[in-house]
This record gives sequence, structure tokens and C-alpha cells, in this order.
Amino acid sequence: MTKKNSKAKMGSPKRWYYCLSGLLLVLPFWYLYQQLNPTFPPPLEKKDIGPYSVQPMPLNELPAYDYGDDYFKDFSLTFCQGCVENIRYAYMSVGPEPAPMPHDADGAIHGVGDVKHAHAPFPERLTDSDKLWVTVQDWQGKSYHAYWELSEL
Amino acid sequence: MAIKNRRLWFQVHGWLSLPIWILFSFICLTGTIAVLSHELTWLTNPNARATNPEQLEAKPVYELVDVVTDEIPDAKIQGLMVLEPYLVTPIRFSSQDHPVGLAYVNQYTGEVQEINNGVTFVEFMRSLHGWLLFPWQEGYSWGYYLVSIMSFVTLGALITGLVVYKKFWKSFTQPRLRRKKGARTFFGDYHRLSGVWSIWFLLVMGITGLCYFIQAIGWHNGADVWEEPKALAIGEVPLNQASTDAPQQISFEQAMDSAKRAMPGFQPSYIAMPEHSRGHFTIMGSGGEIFYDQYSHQAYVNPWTAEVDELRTPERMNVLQTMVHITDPLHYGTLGGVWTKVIWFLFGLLLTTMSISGFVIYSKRMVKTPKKQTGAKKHIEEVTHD
Repeated sequence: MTKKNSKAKMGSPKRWYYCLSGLLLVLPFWYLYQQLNPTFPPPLEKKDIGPYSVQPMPLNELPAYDYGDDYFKDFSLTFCQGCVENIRYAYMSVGPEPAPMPHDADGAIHGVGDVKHAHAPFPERLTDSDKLWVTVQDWQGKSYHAYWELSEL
Repeated sequence: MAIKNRRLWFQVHGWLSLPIWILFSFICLTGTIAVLSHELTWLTNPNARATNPEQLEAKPVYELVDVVTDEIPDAKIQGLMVLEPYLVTPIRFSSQDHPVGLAYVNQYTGEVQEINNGVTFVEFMRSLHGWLLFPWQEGYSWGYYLVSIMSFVTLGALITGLVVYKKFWKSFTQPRLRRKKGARTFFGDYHRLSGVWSIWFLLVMGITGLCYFIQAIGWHNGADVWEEPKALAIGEVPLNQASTDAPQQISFEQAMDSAKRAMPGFQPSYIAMPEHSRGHFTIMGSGGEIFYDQYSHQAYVNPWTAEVDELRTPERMNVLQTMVHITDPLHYGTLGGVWTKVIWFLFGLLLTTMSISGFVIYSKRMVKTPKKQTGAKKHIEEVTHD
């Protein structure tokens, strides 16, 4: 009983303690500022890929993320002007060689505007011979490849 | 024994709510505003109003898309939404001058009333309420977790509150709000009265919030209740040996026709154009069922053959899929149109003030409690409503 009484007396200081959750409300303002002023890593080198050229940019500097059973890293890609219309399908992959045409949409370079996006599938463990590949196929079915060293990321 | 138990329930009521009362109140307030965010946009932005002085029929969505491409020839259409009849149709596009553009098209007059960069009050309120603008990592946001675990607080506070408040039903039969007996009595009465009248609302918010929490865990683990629609095989995408140009895809109008044949009577609400040559037209809408959301009918139309490659309708859904599609109308209050939204808004306000009044009661009790009686015990005696 004595203990409970002392708790009751201690009530007042606890009142501000219960207001601490209000401090969390600073975070939305901070995140709003960040979202209005996004920063991205520098883009990778622009490379020719057959008759086209492409410049990927990682969306962050973090390693590939675990999603479900697979690992991915997100990129935006800028193609040469007017080239997108001539491309039937394009995708990103990681490995010593460019991946064959995927059965699903893994790594598909997608988006309606001129700046495209891709969630590039990464292997769980990277080896020294792994590279980041972009494969494009034109409307005649001919494929072209370009690669970047993963150390550039 | 009963009193002792009730004291414990009362303490749990406080432990659940008091440490987060400001945050909880903020989430309630932002949600309350979000409920009427479309209507507030209508009030404050004349360009968002779909005025129809000549009582014209709404034009089909494929004609609205043509309106945008006529006005901005290099616009590439990403998709569109169909909102309430008094609101314009926002069409997302990308062009040289507007990398991320949103055109407000009046569906009756066929005029572009505004072009903005896609950052809208509606989206802002929804993000502020849903995840407090915390960033999204791949598949999860700590903010979304923080908000959705408030469902445990909501349900916990409701249950413990009802146990503590003996004969709570008297708030329906003999409502009591004593204004002349001091602030403590007033806020106590107010808290109990608004709590009891909000039982249904607390249950709806608590249970739907719990559904969002379950869904968040699924996303975090890469398991959505719907699988991504299967991409077309590369062989289904035609080649063009004659020139470097792309072969002709079906038109948006043809895609809509296919969707309507597969889902007779559906009303479109959200449409996304194919994002690559192996993707589909995503066409979502409502079939008019009161408890299902406006995305519960979905057709994925092959852009080369106009076939519906995948169809999703309420009768084909499993339990989790059904849960996902009935949660939003209940949580947003959209199930009966603008009037249910107004009811949700009013009860949202009530809920916002409940955590404030709860804290006021606690503060007053802490200041005024006589030394020989603990706050909890005294309060228990107050709330029995005899």
C-alpha cells in the first residue's frame, strides 16, 4: 500500500513522460523534408549497347535487398532519345554472363516515360566474376548486351 | 475481488493508451482529415471539380486519355483513376515538360482543367496518416507498422474500457454529461460517453487496422495476397522484320472492351497501361458490391491479342484476398458514398478527442488524488455509473 501511495505522489513527473510520444511527430516533418529533397548516388558510366546507349543509376548505395526468397537492387535507366521505341524487351541481370531471357518479368526494364526502372535480381552471394548486365532485344529479335563492374556500384 | 480485477483492467487501459496518447491522437486526426480529403480538395481547388452544367454523360476513359495526348502530344499515359462523380478524372502521364505529370480532366466536358506534378493533398494525407511519411524500404515501412499496431491499442482500450465501465450501456439509455461539476467530472463523462457511442467505430477501426497489420507482415516477407500477374512469354510479343518500329498494340479502347466483356457491369476505377512489352493493361473496377472496394474486379488484358489473361473477381477470392478487398471501404468510410464519409469523419473527430480527454482525466486525477486513496481505486468508483 505504501508503495502504491508513493506511486500516486509521483504522478506529476509522469505526466510529461506520457507526452514523450509527441516527439515522434518530429519524424514526419523530417521525412517530408527528405522526400522533397531526395539524393541519389552518381549514375554509372553511359555505355553503348548495340545501336543504342544506356546509363543506369542505382537508387541507393545499399547492398541488394532481400525480398521473399530473392535479392534485388533497384535502378533507374536513361536510354538514348527515341531509342526506347525500337526496343522489344530489356532486362537487367547479375552474373559472369548475361542471363538468358527470363521466363518471368524478373529484372524487366519497365516504365512508361523516358526514364525507366528495374529491380535487378542479384545472387545471394556475389563472386568476383559477377557483373551487372543490361540486355536489350530489338523488334527483329536481335539481342545486345552491356555490363558494368559491380565495384562501380 | 471484482473491484481488484477491475482495478487491474483499469490500469491496463491506462498503460495501453497513456504512453502514446499524443501519437494516437495525431493518427486519428490525420485519418479523420484523410476521410474527407477528396471533398476538401473539391472545396479548395475549383480545378478538381467535375462541373457538369449541361448534364452531359461522362465520356469513356479512353476518350479522356485522348484529350491529354491531344493537348500534350508527347505525353505517355501511365494510368488514371475514376473518382466520385463530382471529381475530375486524374490521368498520370510523362512528357518532356512534365516528367511526372497529373492531368485533371473533366469527364463531362472533356477539358483538361489542371496539370500538376502529381503531389496531391489526397496522397499527402494518406501517406501522413498511413505511415507518418516514414520511408518505404522494400516491402515495408516502420511507420506503417507503427500506425497499424495502434489497432491493438484501439481494441485493447475498447475492451478494457468496457470492463472498467460497469453498466456502460447506460450511456445509451441515460447519457450523462455533467458540465457544472468541474473539469474532471466533465472530461470523465465525455470520455465515457464518446467511448460508448463509438464502440462500433472503435471495433471497425481496430479490426481493419489489424488487417492492415497482417498485410504489412505479408509484404515484409515478400508475400502479397495476390501474386503478380504472370508476364507474357517473349514469344507472345510479336517481332517486326519489316522495320525497326514496334508492331501495333491494341488500343486502350479495345482493352476496355475486353475488360467489360469479362466483367459485365463493372465500373472502372483504376487503370494502368502496360509497363513493358510483356506486361498487361491493368484494369480495375467495382462490381457494385457494397462491402468490396473499387478494385475488387480486375482484368489483365494482353496488349497484343486483347485477351483477358487473368481475371480477379470477388467470387474467385480466398479468405485473405477477400479481407484485403473489404478492409478499405470499412476503414475509409467510402461504402455508402459521401454521407458515410461524413459519419466516419465525425466519429474520427470523436476518437481524436478521446485520447486527449483520457490524458486530461489522468492529469487531473494525479493532481487531486487524496493521499490515502490511490487514483485507480477512486476512479473505479467514479466510473461505475450507479
